[in-house]
Amino acid sequence: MAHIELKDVCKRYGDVTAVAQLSLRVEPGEFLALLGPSGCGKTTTLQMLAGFVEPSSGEIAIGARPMRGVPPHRRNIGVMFQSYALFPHLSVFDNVAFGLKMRRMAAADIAARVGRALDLVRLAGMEQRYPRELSGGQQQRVALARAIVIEPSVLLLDEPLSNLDASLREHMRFEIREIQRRVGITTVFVTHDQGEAMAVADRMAVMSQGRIRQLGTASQIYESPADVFVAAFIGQANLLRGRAARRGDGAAELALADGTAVAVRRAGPAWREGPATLALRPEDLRLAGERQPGLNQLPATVTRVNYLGSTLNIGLRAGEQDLTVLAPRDACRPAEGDRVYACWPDTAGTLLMEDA
Amino acid sequence: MIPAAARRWLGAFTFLACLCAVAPVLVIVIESFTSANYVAFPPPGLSVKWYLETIKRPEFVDSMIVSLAVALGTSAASTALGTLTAIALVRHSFRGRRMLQSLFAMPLSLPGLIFGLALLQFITLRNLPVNGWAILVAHVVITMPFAIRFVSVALLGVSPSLELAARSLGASPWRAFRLVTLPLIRPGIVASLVFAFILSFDEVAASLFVSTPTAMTLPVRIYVYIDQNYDPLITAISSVLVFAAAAALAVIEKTVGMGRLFGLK
Repeated sequence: MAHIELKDVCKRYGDVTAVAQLSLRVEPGEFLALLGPSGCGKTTTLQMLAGFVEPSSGEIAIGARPMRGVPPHRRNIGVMFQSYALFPHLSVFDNVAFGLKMRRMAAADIAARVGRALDLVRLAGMEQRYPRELSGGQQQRVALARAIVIEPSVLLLDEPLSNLDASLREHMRFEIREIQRRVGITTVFVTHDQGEAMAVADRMAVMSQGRIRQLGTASQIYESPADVFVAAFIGQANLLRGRAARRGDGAAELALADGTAVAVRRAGPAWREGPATLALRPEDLRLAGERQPGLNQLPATVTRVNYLGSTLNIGLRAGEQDLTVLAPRDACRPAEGDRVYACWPDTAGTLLMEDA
Repeated sequence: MIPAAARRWLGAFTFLACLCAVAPVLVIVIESFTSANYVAFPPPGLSVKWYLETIKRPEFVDSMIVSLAVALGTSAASTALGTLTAIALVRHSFRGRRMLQSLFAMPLSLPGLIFGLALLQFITLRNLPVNGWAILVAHVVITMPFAIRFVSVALLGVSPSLELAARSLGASPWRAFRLVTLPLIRPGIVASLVFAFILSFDEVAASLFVSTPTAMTLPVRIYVYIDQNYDPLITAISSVLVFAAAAALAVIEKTVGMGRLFGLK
């Protein structure tokens, strides 16, 4: 098992900076997701790890071995492509055996290892099929088998699930995670789907504009987003803008545009007085028919109610502010146009400084 | 859905078009098997004596050899250069790529006569010898746009990520190309080989200018011959050209399929 180390890695294309000063360490055996919207630099980062793209500056090391100038075929990496990139003119067996043949392994060893890899992805018996004769999910398993059969030091996955339909995607993400755990291989997984990243990764790096905005476990990032971008990108967030000030008891207070002041007890160590945004998750909010003592609250009007099965998604308008509330389905169901109070305890939400 | 009446007209039109294309050639081929000493259709009797006569004429045999050698050389050189060019034009982005694409297609719109004249001037002004190599150069220039086109179309159908996948699995750039891309663009390469061969074998206009009495392609030899004579010998030699082209097309049909070659299927 190898670790991956990126140090001040930059990639520029002419005037465009795709990746800026990226530093990151992936631990041996870890499953790390690079998550971000398209154009955030996550795919470029993966291509630099694979060696398809050379960094403009900075250092990349895989298992303590510096990668500068090392071409892809000497890196011992497994890559799974968004399009699977199976060789259409080769059978399943020959696709999986390709990397072993490149390593000039004996035919008997190749057959044994291909057999084991196909067992692992539950495709035994499919050796003589051709990629075009396989379903999307099967093609994806062949691609995974082909990438791991060479026992690479790291596995790189480039949006491997985005070509599958929703139910299969859900199934395959756990299958990939399960196989990765069994093989114990250091894995970097690129995706734009936050649900996918949260479901499979040990840690995730949220990227935007070529930089890592936050690195941490799913719960760290969801519950304490580092900035407004992360709060809005990971899950849904109600963003209340205002000015933060210190209260008499040391807690923070956010004065909203309309003059309402809300208390924030979980301000975090980085907070200071000045323009700030309070990020509240939809499930942090509760609806009440009348004022609730001891809670922050905003008077609001119900603009929509969507029944989602296990939950209700309720839209509110409080002055100039749109709010989204996720309520359990057994809560009393408000009607459109109802006057309510959106309430939350001062321990909920994260106070984010504007310029962070 | 095409209405039945229109379909009948369409069928008749297609039949007429094919007839106009094939019938004159068929007439020549039938005439070549004549037993008479003059060109006549239908021939009064059948024989292969004019084919035997062809073999006895050294200038035609020599021209046949020149044509074959030039066509084979053109086929190989044009396809090799065309493949390299196509890879650069399809797989790499660089300044002036679009301009180069147009430049490489230009010989298609250049009349062969004018190109032949220009090439002859170029060669003589530099005191270079006019021989079989000059014909080969002319034919490579004329056929390269086709080679580039056929291989480009094939390359466009092969995802670049396949080669990256092969690289990640341990294949050097050359092995990745040879084991993955090359087998997948083989139809385009076969098409290019065969088409360059046919085009070169049948080319007259440019070859007229750079042929010499000692190095003259068969079509030019025919052209020069019928300027002075008109007998069944010429129909026999012309038929040989037809058979060669037909054989080449049969190779394409067997290996690639004509429809796929022109993107019909």
